[in-house]
Amino acid sequence: MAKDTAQDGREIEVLGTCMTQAQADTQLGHNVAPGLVWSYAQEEALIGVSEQGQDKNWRLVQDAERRAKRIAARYADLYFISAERSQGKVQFYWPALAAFVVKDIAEAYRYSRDEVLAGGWSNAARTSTASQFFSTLYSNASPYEHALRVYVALAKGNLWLFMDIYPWLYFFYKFGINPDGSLNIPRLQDHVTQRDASQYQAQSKAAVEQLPFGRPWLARQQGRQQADPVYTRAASYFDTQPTWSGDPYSGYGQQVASAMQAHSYVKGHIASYDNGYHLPLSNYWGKFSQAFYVMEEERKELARVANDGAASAALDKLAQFKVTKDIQDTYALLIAESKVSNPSQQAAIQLNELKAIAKQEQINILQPLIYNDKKLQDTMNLNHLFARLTYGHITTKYRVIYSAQPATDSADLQTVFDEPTGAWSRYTGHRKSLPDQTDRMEYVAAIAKDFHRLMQTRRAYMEGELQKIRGWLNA
Amino acid sequence: MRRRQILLGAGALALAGIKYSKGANMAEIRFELGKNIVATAKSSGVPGYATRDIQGYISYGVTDIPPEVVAVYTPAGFQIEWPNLFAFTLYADRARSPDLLVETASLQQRAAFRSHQDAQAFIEQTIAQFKRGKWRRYFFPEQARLSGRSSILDEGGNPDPYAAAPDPDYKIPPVDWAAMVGLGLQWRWLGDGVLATLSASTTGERADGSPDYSISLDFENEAVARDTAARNEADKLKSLDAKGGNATAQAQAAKSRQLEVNKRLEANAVKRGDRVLAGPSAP
Repeated sequence: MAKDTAQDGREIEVLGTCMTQAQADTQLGHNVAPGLVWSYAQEEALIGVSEQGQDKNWRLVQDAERRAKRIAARYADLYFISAERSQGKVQFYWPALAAFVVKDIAEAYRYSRDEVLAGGWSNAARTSTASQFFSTLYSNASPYEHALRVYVALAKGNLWLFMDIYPWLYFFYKFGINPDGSLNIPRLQDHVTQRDASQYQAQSKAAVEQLPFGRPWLARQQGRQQADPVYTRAASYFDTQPTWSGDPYSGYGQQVASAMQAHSYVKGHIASYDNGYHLPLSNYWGKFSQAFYVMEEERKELARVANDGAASAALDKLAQFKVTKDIQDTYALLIAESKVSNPSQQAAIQLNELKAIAKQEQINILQPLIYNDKKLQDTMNLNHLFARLTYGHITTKYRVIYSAQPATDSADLQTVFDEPTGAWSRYTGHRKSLPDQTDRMEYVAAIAKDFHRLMQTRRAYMEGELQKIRGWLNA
Repeated sequence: MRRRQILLGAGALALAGIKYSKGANMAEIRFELGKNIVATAKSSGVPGYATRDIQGYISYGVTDIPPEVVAVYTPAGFQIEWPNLFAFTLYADRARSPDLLVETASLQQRAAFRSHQDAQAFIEQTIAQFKRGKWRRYFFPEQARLSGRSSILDEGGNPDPYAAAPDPDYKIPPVDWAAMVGLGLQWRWLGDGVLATLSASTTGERADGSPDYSISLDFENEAVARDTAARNEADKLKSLDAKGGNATAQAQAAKSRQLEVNKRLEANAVKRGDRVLAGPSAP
């Protein structure tokens, strides 16, 4: 009797064989409902920022900084795999630029932590008593508050932008390009209008609903914040209110001693009550010399975000993931790209694709989600003011660096937002505002021009840097 | 035309170098290709540039140019004036040119048009300047060389900006313009070894409901542009083939198919009464 080996290694006896189809290699087409296909594309975005545990379940990476690196890598990956699957007929362009931009967001997180939230002597120019005083006087907010505001906005914008745009492109890549590299144009044109989160498979739908900054997550975060035992204990060190006359042991010295105890307690115990609801994640707080003060500002900022009804309404709308004209234009441009055989024409269409997705990114998603926030506008405008005045020494400039390196001192490798053209304009010139959509789109146009030129003339260098960023897929 | 320098103390120092045309009362940025980038930048009239050097690719760029400034491409017989630009950038490549000769100049329009008609009128004014000069229409090898309406139609007779090279002499009807400009329209000319590309595209609408245009005008050393594009394409195909694909074969097949398509486009053009221009793809 014939023998065979089963998948688990057991030897089995083969009693006989039979055909399941009358003809060998028969294939059966099956139409999967568009909602489920889009669900699959959405899952791929979720997996991109998740880790699989031993129980085989995927769990969201809690650290916004690691998520940013993974997102940058996913964007870089799209650039390469789109060309591979289509045999060069289509190569997604916006994701290549986005990979550089998100890489710089990862650096912005680090800057906020190490250069501002860490406090201490080395950051005195940014966080000393005098700087705190000036910042509060000028903007009614401390440097910690400003840093956390940007940190939180980046965490929110970066994650939800990825949740919107990655599936649009992944769908095109996975289900719109046939195995022979040609495009399934009818499917692309039909399905682009059918993405709708309410039609997702149940688990995908639930996973999206529970993501950070959605209403359920904000409710959980605020509930945990209210009940935070670490904060309660640290705050209790201030139960003895300082008196500023009389007892020499209960004045300024008492305040300093209480603060030191509170900072130390927060640093030592924050990890015990984190579970992904602190921004930055608790493992970074060991370096924060004034950890309790940072925590107070974090609580205020997250409460403010939770109570921002307009932003939550914008997120509710975005999280439906309905098609926009800019995404339909993007699909039309990618289809047009597949039809031309001249590389210069292909490059021209790629640039238009980049601009169409940039519009989706900046105007349809980030503007209502984060940039309409008046407090964030004030913070970013203040940061820009200092960056211009101090040549970026006190606070970092808004810039894109065309390198896998997180930072550069070289003025050559970057496109800087609203860069002064001379000493005079640095101090007296009209300043632009990054949260302003007109100013920001002008900046995006300047970035697109620089990026496109480099991609045409220094393709090997740029792709080499993108490959390095792609290496962060499992960061 | 008489010109004079305006120098009005420290405040005007930032404007030093911008030349004002007395007759037209306009500031100008004057430029051409083929000369050292530093010398070109200094003589251009722009007071200050942001410079970059990425792997030997040098750029001198300026943005937020005052609306009254006009860029002037200066070579005799090929002069082009472009008003209301937002950005101007010069490029040189140290790897190809140790003397850092300018090989590309890129101009970006402010493009705040209230309607498609306004944008089309601006484009047509630019095209008219190319027609007045010694510029000649430029075609990629794979493009059908057609005149008139046939230059913007695909095999099925539908507007398609990439079916062939749009004919600068053909005035595109507004309905076709609006249908095509979302995908992008380009017109190309060659003059004294310089490839000029005029590009227009839209991405939806601005907040005020007007179409959101991107319009640019690029002057490139044609040989350099052609070599660079060919090298990039060859590298891409080689890389894809190395991963087990057949990209080179597919690209070659696509070019062959395009030549067949071009024959049909040409036949359709003749039926419409348009012309097929002489060149590699002509019968």
